[in-house]
Amino acid sequence: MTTSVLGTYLSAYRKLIVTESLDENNVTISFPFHLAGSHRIEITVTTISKERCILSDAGRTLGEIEDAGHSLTPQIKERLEKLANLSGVRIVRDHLLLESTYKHLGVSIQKYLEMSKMIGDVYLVHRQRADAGDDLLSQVRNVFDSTRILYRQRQKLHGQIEDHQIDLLVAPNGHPGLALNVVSGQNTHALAQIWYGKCDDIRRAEENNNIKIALIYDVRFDQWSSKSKAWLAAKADVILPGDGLNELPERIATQGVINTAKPRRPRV
Amino acid sequence: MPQEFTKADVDYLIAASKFIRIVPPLPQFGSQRPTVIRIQSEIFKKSEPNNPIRGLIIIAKARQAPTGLPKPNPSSALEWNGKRIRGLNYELRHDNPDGTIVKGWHEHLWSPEDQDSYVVSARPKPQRCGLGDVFKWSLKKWNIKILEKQEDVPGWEV
Repeated sequence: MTTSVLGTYLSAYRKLIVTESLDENNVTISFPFHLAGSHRIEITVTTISKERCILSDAGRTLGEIEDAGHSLTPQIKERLEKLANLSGVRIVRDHLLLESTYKHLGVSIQKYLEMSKMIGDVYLVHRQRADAGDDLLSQVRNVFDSTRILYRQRQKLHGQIEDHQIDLLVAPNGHPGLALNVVSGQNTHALAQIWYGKCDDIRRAEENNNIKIALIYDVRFDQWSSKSKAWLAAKADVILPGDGLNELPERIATQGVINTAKPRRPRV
Repeated sequence: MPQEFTKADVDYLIAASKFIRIVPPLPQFGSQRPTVIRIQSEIFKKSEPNNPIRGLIIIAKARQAPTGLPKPNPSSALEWNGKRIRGLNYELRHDNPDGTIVKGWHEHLWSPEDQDSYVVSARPKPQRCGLGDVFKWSLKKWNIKILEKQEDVPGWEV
């Protein structure tokens, strides 16, 4: 049975592989592994001597990361290079390169594929998280819209040390203002500590004296420990989990941001 | 990001008569651009010639291969608010989300479901595959005219 299963798999896999001979020294192989935009991983095998060859990707792996909307800063490249070096893959002019002997070509291709897929998929993690945070933000906006709270999106607040990007800002207008941010991403504990510092910096700027801070932490993908929540609660006026938005109007009303008093009936 | 446009918006935008003011000069690889060269331009609607279409740019780029390795094909993209709504690329084989296969030069189409993953075969194939050729091919495909040609820029006619 093992032979039959393996045989069927290898036969199907073979059919999914496409090759193209560029010239007598270069062959490109397209593998059924996908990067951004459903692009396949293509490896070009270039002969450099009778026994040795070099595997490269025509700069596609890093190119796809860029096409997916991530800029390749020197810092990101340095980190990717460290990751690639673990498998002996080098990054030269944005090309992933791996030298190999023809004797070990099979193993080298497998190693290269694994590394290319790993580097190429780095963007997926961050892209998903960014989208997830924005989904939650639109839910918060719906709450604000339904309670007729006027706000501005993506505003900057001056801190004592630096400016801070805020998702939604309700300007003070007779009542205290509100700076609301959705806290979403990996490593929730570090995020909480970062926001502890940010809140502190915002508070230190005198012009923000009349602004309350609300933080909505995203609980859909990550766990928030009690200590992480404690970091947020220590500095923010309101903290709420993303699945508790129904409490938001009441919580910000207790901070005086909106007036919950029922309008008086006009005297006749 | 919340979805800012629909497939109909994109298709309408592609079909609209558009132009770029000038063909940008063709950059060369050098010490300042050792890895990748790009040409890009903002795009105007013929109906509103004074204001560029907000967030819409056309970009073509080519990569320099390390010595001894084959030269990669250039690619181009039409990006709207950071999303690739159209693209031209070369790939031995592209697997579409619906299971169909496209070989060689292909055009990426954008939809809310598949984003830029779905491609169709791009024909007619360009005669030459320089960065400038792919840029001009993209202009033609996406209904973008050139107001002024920059034929006098050295190195443009690659």
